[in-house]
Amino acid sequence: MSSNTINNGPIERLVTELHKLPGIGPKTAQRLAYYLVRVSKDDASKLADSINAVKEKIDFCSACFDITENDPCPICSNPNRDKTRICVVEEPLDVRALEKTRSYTGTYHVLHGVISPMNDIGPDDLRIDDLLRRMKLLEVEEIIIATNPNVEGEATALYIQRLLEPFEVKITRPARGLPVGGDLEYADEITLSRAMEGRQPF
Amino acid sequence: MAKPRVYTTTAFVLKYRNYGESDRFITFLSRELGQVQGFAKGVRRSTSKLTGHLELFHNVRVSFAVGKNIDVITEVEIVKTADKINDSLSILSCALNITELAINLSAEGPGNEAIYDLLYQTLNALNGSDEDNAEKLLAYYQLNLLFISGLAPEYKECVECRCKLSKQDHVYNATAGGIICPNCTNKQIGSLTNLSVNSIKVLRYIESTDIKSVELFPIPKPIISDVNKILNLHINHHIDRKIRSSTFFKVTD
Repeated sequence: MSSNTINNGPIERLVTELHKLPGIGPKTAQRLAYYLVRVSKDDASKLADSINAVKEKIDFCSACFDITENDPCPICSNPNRDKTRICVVEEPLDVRALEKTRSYTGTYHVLHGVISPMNDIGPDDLRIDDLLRRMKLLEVEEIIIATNPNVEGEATALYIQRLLEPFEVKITRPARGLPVGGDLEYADEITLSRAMEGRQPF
Repeated sequence: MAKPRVYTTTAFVLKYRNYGESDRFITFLSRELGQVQGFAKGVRRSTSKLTGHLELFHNVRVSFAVGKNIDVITEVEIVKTADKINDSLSILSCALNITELAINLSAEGPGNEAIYDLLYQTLNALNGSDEDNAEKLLAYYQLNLLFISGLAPEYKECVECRCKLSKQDHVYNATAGGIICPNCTNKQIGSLTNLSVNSIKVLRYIESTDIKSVELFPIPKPIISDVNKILNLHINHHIDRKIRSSTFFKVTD
């Protein structure tokens, strides 16, 4: 009877919820929960309010599925953006990384994951169908498949390429080569050979 | 003798799992040491010296420093790349299936030499092979792996009455572990799957020959798909776990 009361108490509920967060184990969840018991009511409300605000205000863009406050997102609603180019990325953070370069002026499509048979993630779990729907509505000239250059990213890219075949659209992948600040002697054979293949006039 | 603090081995990269901001846990299969787990610190940063070397299917020479809980990868060098596997979706899904099986049927420590050699042979053949050969090579790998592990299906005689099988279509039962002759079919529990006489012949052929001959031998697509289906059923039943990449393979068709 008493163990039941403990399991359903507010602290245990908080521990269970915190434990669901990435990188938080049962012990850390417990420590965080007991810390939150000690913080002022004001601080606790601020935390609760900001979590609520994120869930209420942040949504997915109906066009590119990036995380946004307004739908469509600032990139999709910007008239200066080239709507004939779509860059397909795995995660919203990849959009942030590409935006930092300021060299890409097209739009994006976020898949929210990557095909990973080992982790039981199949094509149906990703936003691939939405990309195809978008292709039918818009006049797209180029699709840049910017998934990560690892096996899972390649599998996803090959799968998308196969689905895009009927659209007769130009499909590209970002170039592979040596990173700035990297060391040639530590570069792997595949990166080096691709870097040599794609060398540019100096 | 105490284990050296730093050791080096040649191994295949079978699996990785992202951890923290830029690290990865990596599972290898080494000929001498069997399955080895390593921690690759900072490998997801583009400037890391490990980046690119620790991709799936690569055969690498890797050095570990013995850690408290897990050994840390200090150096890695590619022995053989498997870059052509990534060029085709059907070859890639076969290769994923092959590595997943290797993880499930190999163990830590010595005694995995045969599994390693089979993996080496099959991944080498897949890398640079024609798309149409992928399923044949997968069947070769699966059947031989089952023989090495002592889990091979029985397809020469009836598993129930031990009579020699006649040259006709038969049924396969995963629970019984092989093919059932028509007289024993009624006594069976569990689901029965039809297996054509040609598929049985293909199974026998794959068992008796080497990988090069399997690659060159023309096997009609429906028959090799049938063989793969039976082998998948057999594997899923006997290792009591679903091989997830086999369903991915269906999706790509």
